[in-house]
Amino acid sequence: MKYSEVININVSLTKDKFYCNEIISGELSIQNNHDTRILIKNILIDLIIKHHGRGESSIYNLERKIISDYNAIKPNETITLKFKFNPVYNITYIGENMSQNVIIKTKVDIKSESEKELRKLAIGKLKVGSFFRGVFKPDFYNEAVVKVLRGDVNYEIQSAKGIIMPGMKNALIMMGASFVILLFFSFVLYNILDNQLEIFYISTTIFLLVAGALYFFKITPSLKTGKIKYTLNNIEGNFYEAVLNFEKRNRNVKEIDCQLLAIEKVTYDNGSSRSTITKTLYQSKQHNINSFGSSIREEIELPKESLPLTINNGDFEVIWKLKIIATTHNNLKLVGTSVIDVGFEKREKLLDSRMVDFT
Amino acid sequence: MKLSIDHYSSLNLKYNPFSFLNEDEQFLTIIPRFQMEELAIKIENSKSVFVEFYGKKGHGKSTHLTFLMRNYFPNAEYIQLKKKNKKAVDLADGILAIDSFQLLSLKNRMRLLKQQQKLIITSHYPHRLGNIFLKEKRYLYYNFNKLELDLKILKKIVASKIELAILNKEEAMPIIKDDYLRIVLKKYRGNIRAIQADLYTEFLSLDSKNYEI
Repeated sequence: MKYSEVININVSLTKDKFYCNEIISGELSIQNNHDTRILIKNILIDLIIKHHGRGESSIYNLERKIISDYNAIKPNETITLKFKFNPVYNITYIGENMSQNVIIKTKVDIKSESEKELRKLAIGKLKVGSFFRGVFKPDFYNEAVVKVLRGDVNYEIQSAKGIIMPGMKNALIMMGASFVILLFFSFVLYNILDNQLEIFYISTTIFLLVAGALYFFKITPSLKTGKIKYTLNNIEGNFYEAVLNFEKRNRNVKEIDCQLLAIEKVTYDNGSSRSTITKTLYQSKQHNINSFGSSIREEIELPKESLPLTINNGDFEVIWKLKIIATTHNNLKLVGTSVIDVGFEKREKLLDSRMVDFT
Repeated sequence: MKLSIDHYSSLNLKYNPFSFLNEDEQFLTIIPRFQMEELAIKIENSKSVFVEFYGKKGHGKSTHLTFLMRNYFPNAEYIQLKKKNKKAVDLADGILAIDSFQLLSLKNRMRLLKQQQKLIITSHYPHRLGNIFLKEKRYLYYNFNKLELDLKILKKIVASKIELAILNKEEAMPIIKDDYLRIVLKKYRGNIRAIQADLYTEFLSLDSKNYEI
C-alpha cells in the first residue's frame, strides 16, 4: 500500500466540460482506507489555474473553500460533499509549448497526532519511498482537471489604443541587423586577410547600398503613410470596431487590412540557457478596409474559437496583437503590429462566498 | 500542429508528464541518486563544511539540492539564482545553500567560501581550488557528470513523472518503451533535462510508436 492510498480522494464533476460563464459544480468524496481513525484539521478545496510547459510551471489560486465541519474520519468511512465554484474565464488550452489547465485541488489536512500515528503504523506496511513521502508531506492531495471552453461568451478587447507606423519597425530592424552582420564579417575578414583596411571600405559601401535600398523601399513609403492612431471598441455581439485615424492624408496607400493575432511564447531551460519559441496560435482573416479619408471605422468579427486570453506568466506568454497591413500603389506591403489585451465579456451572477453542501 | 483539449486526457493524463514541474511536484517525483540522508547527517555534524554539487546543466544538481534543503534543512536560507536575476549574496547564520553559485561575482564567491560556516552549492564547475586554503573546512563534493544514470533509474524517473500526471489511477497509464529510453540515454547521456525535453515532444503526438498504453 502507498501512503497516498491511506485516504482516497475523488472528485466527480457534474459535467464533462464547462463553459466559461457557468458555475463549476461537483461532488467530493474522501474515504479512509486505513484501519484507524484519522483526525482532520480541515479540508481545503481550491480552484486553481495551472500553467505547465517546456520551461516553467506555476499555479494561481482563484477560489478557496475551507471546510472545518469534520474532525475525523472513521476507518472505511466516506465523507461526501458537494461544491460549487464561480465561473472561470481561463479556458483550457493545450499548446505545443504550454498548457493552461483549470484544476480542483483538494487537500485533506490531518492533525499532527494522526500524522505521528500514521508514521508509526506505516513502518513495515508501506513501500519505503512512499513512507518517506508521507514523512515529509503527510497531508493528502488530489487534483482533478476541469475542462473549460469558451462557449457562446463573447470576447472583449480591453485597453486597445495605440499608434502604429506600418513598415518602420521592420525597416529599422533590418537596417540594424545588416549593420551588425557586416561589422562582424568585416572584423573576421580583417583578421583573416592580414589587416587589410579595404575590407572596411567594401563593407561600408555594401551597408550604404543596403541602407539606401531600405530607405527607398521601406522607410520612404512608411514616412509617406505616416502614423496610424488606432482605437478598438467593443460593440454588441462578438464584434469590435476598429477606428483608424491617419496622421497624413495621402494617396500612397491603396488598401488597409486589419488582422488579429495570438502568439504563444515560451522561454525555457529555466533561464540558464535562454531559448525562446514563439508560435502563432490564432490568426484571423485579413479584414480589408476600403473607405478612405483621414479617419475610418469598421466592424470586425472577433474569433469564434476557444482561445486563451492574454497571459504573462514569467516565461510563458500568450500575446494578442493587432496587425495593420498597408499596401501601397506600388504593391509594397507595410506591416505594423501593436500589443492589445483580450478578455471575455462577463455576465454571470456570482455565488455566495461559501457554497458547499454537506450530504 | 493543433492540439485538442482532449489531447492529454485521451492518454489518461492531466498534462504533458514531461512539463517543467514546480517545487512541490518535483519533490513528489525525485529519485535521489545517492544517499541524501547520509549527506544531511554529515552537514549537521560538521562545524564548518563546504558541499558542492557540480556538473553540466540538466544533470539534476538543482533538483537534488532542492530535495536536500526541503527535506532536511527547511529553515535554512536557500537562494536560487537565475541568469536573468543575478544578485549579491550575503553571509547567513548556519547553513546557506545557493543554486547556480557560478552566477555570483568572483569576489562574492570568495567571501562566501572563506566566511560562510556551512555552504552548500550547485555549480557547473568545481570550486575546490577556492577551498584549498581553508583546511579547517570539511569539503564534500558530488560530480554529477559521473553520477550513474542507467536504464533502471531512468525508468523510475519517467514512471514517477507519468504517475504524477495520471488522470485516473484506476485506468492504464502510458508506458515508454525501453528501446526508446535506451536511445535517449545514449543520445543525451546523463542530461536528464534534455531527455525530459525529448520525451515532452514525444507526448505532443498521439500516435508516437515510442510509448504505449
